[in-house]
Amino acid sequence: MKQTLVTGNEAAAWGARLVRAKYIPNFPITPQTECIETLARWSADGELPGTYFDRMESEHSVMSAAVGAAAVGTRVFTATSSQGLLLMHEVLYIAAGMRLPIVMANISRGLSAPVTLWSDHNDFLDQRDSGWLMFHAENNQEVLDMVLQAYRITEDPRVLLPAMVNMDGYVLSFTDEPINIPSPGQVEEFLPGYDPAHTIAHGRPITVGPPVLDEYSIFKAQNHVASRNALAVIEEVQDDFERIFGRRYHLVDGFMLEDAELVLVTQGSMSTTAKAAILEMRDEGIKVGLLRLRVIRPWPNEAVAGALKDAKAIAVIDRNVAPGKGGIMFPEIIETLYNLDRRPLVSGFVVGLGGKPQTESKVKEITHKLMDDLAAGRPRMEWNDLEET
Amino acid sequence: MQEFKSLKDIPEQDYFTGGSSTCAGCGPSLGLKLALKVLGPETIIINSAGCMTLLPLYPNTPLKASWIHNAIENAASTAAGARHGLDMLGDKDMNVVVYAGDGATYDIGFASLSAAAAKNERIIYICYNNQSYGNTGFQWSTATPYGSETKTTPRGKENPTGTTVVNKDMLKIMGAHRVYAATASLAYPVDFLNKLGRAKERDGFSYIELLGACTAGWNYDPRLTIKISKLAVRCGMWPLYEIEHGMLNLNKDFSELKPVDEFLNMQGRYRALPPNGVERLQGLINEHWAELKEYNGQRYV
Amino acid sequence: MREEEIPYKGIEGIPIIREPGNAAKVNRGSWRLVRPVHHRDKCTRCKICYIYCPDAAINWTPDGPEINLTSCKGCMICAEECPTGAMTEEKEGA
Repeated sequence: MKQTLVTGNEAAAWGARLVRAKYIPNFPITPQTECIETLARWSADGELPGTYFDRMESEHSVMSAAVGAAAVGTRVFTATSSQGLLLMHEVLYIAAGMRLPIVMANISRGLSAPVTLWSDHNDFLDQRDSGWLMFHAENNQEVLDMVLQAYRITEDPRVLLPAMVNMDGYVLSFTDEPINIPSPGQVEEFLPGYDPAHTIAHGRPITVGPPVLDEYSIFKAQNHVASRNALAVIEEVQDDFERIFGRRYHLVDGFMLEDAELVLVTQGSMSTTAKAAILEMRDEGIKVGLLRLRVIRPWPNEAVAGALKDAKAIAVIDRNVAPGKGGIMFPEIIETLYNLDRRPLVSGFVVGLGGKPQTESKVKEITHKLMDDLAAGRPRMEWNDLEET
Repeated sequence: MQEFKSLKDIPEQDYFTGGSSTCAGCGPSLGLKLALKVLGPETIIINSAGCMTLLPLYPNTPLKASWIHNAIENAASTAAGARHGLDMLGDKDMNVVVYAGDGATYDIGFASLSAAAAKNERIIYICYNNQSYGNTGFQWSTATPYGSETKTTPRGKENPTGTTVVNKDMLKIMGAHRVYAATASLAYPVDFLNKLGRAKERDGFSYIELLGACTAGWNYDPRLTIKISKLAVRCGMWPLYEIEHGMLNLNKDFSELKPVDEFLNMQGRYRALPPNGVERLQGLINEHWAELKEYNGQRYV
Repeated sequence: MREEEIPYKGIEGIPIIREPGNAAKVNRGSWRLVRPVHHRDKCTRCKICYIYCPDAAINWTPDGPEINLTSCKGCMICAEECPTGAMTEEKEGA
């Protein structure tokens, strides 16, 4: 299959184009701009027939307009980053509560203050409890594939929830990588048109977003169950995806886990660097593997526990921080393992905030610290990248 | 659309039922009931958080049209999304109509409203103006008139006036967006519904601001909703006019305005407004009325 | 209820109301302190009471207004606005 050089931003834009999104409300923010500029150019050139590209006046309005369009049964795409995602925060909960399958790319960037343009994962992890499905890509091929899969998953009647496809700003958003861009016909085969039964239509007057009294917890539970349902749907769609596109994904991405005594838990683009470091450490005889979290919500509990249960020690590498607590995924991993018969030692590392590059040597350093922790029988919670420059 | 000449012309079909939990005598409820007579069932009402959000209460709704309640500050952008979504699905006939309070319109949702108007989206935006944050119990908004007491502008020793800020001139602001902008009154339903009918025919954004008399907040006997609405027009507190292509058209002209006192005396919110406050308010009304008279039939914005 | 026992209800489990106008059956009559009484002999069929009812509790029929006491909250705008005194007020429970 022909490979094309595209950036992560362009890969997300290709996703929106190929799924035939009918409505794309947008507002520019670094580093997402190139994604919507690409769509704007295509729209101006007539390459997005049947799509309305709508320039809004804020991200809050972007998500509000997305809700309006999805509530009348339209397939919607948008993209944002960082502060923009935070401005949407209120409406994210509403989109999920109304069970509207909007798909949004978030090109992650650290949060102000102080201002940074570079990537870390606090922006989307801050939306972790919004009810959205949360996916995180490692590379530009996965960005495109995730957008395609996200629509298929969110529009499934067992799910009907919005989904966020996250990628690391700059590292992916502005880096050209060779990827396969499928044909429109292939995507149409994978993802038919969207015809929801729970939205407003001619002759079907309904009330969307009414206040409730006692039913609140019932609806929240439905949101939860729908999200849990997505686990099975994510696995199910892989057969069709592989048949049509020749690629397959899993709930978690395991790398050299079979005999691994040490496991690094990572997310996003730093996983590629870590995998390279692992190959070198394997040559040195260190039994280390990697588990990349690619589905954050719903939380693939069994897949994570299954992948980690035989490890002796685990380093959770968080490119994010909850001040006063530590890395955000660190306790999630510990909780996942807590009820196992035998619990591995788990250390937490906060790294790469504000886009600080994660090199192979840093990954090796973390691995050696984990070996020390295992030998000492004492886990740690550590901050990296604190050297002043 | 055929313009209505009198009450008798107004359609006898309602797309609004009783059973809601709004107050007895609620002005904004009446506004929506009337509006739906012209809009019909193939309409989506986009509501911002406020009193009207309580019209539907799961699992019941008084609406025989569709309804989306999103949040408070985003009715116009939600409406824009619904409009374009419908258009992209080929459903051009469905009306998309915002029904939002003044706090959601003048204050927190203004950016969203301004953008939708500037883009001339095919939306009818009705602001039911009860001159306060009504649903939270009557607090100050930038639509609250000078001299009105609210829960966040109470009269006291240091401030006997209550609201000291003069309300925004919203119609002028909307007129400056080069859209159709009009005021309307519950006491003049023929005028209101004809304006709505014209807005429905327009291929662009319309802004209609309806004075939404509020029995609980303004503190008056619910039976007086129409009387007070009428008096607001007669005393110049709520002149009926429209702005189209920047031109002003005064819909109800009077050779002389009634003094504001009678209007104030009917409502608890103006109780104990000191005489100099009444004087200042009367001055503001006279000034606005003189401006409308001066520009009537001419370019206004 | 254990998590795995929560039934998934499909679109029934989404907070939307799919029965337009079903609030008509909700009784708001209990809110009333006073009720309107219509006097057909004084009525000129001007429609004012019908137009101005905020709760659509007055239906318009070929015979004039018909008060729906399930929906009527007793605001008495109808009596206040009636130009001929055809709508009067009566205390509830009197």
